[in-house]
Amino acid sequence: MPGHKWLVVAKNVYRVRTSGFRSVRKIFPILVAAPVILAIFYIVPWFGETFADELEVFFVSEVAVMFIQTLLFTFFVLFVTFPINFALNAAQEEHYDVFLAAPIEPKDVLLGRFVGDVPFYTVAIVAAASIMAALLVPLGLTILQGAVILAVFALTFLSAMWIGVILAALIRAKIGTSARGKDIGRAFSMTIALPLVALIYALMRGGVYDALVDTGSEGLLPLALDLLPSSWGADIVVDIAANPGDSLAISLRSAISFAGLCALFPGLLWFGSKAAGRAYNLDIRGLSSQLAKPEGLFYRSVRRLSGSGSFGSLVVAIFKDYGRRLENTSKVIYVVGLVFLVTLFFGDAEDSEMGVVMLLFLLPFLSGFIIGEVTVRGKENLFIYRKAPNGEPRLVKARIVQGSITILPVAALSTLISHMNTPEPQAMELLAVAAYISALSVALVTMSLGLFLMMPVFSERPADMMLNVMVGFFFMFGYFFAALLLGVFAELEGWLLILGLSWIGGLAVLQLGYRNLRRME
Amino acid sequence: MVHVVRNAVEARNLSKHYGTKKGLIKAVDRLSLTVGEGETFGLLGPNGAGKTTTVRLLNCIIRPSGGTASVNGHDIVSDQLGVKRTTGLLAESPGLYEKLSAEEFLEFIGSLYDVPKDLLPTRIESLLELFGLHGRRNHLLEGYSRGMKQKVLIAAALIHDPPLLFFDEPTSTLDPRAALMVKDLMKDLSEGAGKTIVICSHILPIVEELCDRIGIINNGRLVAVGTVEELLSKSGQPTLEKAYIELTGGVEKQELLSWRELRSAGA
Repeated sequence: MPGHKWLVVAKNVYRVRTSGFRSVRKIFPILVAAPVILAIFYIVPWFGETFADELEVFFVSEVAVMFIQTLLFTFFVLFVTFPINFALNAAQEEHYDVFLAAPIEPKDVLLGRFVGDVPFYTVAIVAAASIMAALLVPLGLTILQGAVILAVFALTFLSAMWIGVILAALIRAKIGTSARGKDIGRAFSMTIALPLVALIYALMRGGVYDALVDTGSEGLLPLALDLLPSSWGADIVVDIAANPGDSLAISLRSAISFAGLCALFPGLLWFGSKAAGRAYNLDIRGLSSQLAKPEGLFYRSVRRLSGSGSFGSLVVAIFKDYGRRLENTSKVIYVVGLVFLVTLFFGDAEDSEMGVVMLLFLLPFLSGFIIGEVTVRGKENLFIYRKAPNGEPRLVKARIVQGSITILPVAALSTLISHMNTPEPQAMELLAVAAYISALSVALVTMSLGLFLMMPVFSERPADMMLNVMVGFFFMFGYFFAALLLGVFAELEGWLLILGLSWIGGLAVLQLGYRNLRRME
Repeated sequence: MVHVVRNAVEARNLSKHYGTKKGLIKAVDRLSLTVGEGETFGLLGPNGAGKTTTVRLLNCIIRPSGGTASVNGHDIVSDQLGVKRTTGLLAESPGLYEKLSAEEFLEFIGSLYDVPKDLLPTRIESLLELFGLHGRRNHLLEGYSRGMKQKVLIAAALIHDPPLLFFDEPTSTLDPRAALMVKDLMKDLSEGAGKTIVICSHILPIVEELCDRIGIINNGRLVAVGTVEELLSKSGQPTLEKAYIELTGGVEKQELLSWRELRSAGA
């Protein structure tokens, strides 16, 4: 008799997810569980006992309600967006033909994918729930209350994750059948993080946290939060925390919330199984392929700027291939969005230099995202240049020109945004900062190109690019630290030192990258 | 008058080794071979035999571990520019800028090979017409079928009109009509335009029909080279297919349905 098909899918998902560390696959759960157990049984109880008085005061306060509500809400949103983000990124790699050709129900595919991922999310769920429960143990928490807290966390996060899995499957079915759709998916996967970042920043510094802690406040936000399952769970946890040791001291509201949570998960499972057929559908929704638009003013200018000859054609070709990928635009939007959010929530009107420092640390990300394109299409694309006479030096020059033309306006825009809190910005100061940031940006483009040629990333997944981007970031951190160490930071000498080091480092890394490009086989 | 035939390709003990933890992999092992100017030469061999590595070596995409070779009189190590300018390559797994249209991609490749600016548009037009892609010239390559992409790549290999062309599996993704067109094109390039052509293919009838001589490569070594008749006589086989199997180490005929036996026995 055939076994459960969803289990076969789940096993496969688990194997795929753990393929990177195959040798420790079998003991992986133990490796992950060990620190969690250590935290639950030793570290957190010790913390709970040490701060028992403070915790007791905290858990009976109004702030605790909002704190737990906010905590659960943030995790809820994260658990919904993780699978969506993953699906949007991997839309191109999915091959549903295997499932659709096999005798398996779509709902089994959906459930299998969910169950296959559960072990990874379980670690987070168990850790969060256990830490919460362990903190309350010194206050006299009963076993039943501990179990209810665990159930609340599990039901809330599994529901969130299941919603994420269903939405991911539906989105993937919608976008995965066309090149344009995949493009949109990858672009969206980048920018989807921005609202979440905004939310976290708002919680840290903005008015959202104030709205939450001010229990008297009325408005759409608290009401909207109340409707979310994460808030139902918060009611129960806070009720238990306020009455440790008394298992029956549960308010009617909390009891209804708990019943709601218990009913929600099976309800969502049922809904998901109904939606699965729609999610796994390879019918193509349109056969139109995209047309290349005639060259406009921009590309004509790029061609002219690059010398109009064959080199101009190279730069324009590289630019077109770069510009027509929405994900590239979304990466730039993401960094500019970060500049905006950081300035909005953390900017200081009195201290405009902080804005420049922030740009220093965001520019390596921007240059990495722009230049990382150079290797993601695989070695074969690099071999086009290898085969051509003088192909490699021309590739390097063309990429620097393309990267610089892309980064310069973005750097100028970011400079303006970083000064938006300044009451009366001086035009000359703005110009000087813009010129400085522009010179720095081109140096970072040079360094990023060197890094990606030295350590090529032959994959389109943004996560794979992050190592090189982080190396760029640490280079910048080093320059910044050098200025601090020499006691010239925030002085003209300091800014010039950072710029000079960026250029020297950039050219040196580029040289190494170029050598690697020529040796690549 | 003495008619001197120059060699377009001359390889002597050409080797490419890769060191791995498990030892040395000899992708190409002391391969010696000549291809005369204007000749059409076929390189046959099983998967992983070293055909693509040989082509990559001869196109200066990778460097040899040992031995020497010259292509159109240019040394593949010391005169790479000369080699690259005078050869065209259709790679087995070629790179493609999928967000460019066919016309834009050909313009890009033409620029890489320094095709004169006044000549390039006409040549692109002609090649797009030849391959039946003119109507879709402005469509992005990402929307093309595999066969159409292959046509664009063949056009890209021809764009600078090189005297020597390497075609690695030129017809493997094409429908019969397009495959016939490419076969006829290779024939015309050889007979009409005097090009030297090196073809790597598994499709034996094409190689048999087009190639003046055939080299059979196995485990990185050239195990036989000659005309079809010479290969048949050397192997003592009646057909090229059988000669190829014989020369590359023919396998014993196995019971192809043995995998069903357990089920049948249990049924």
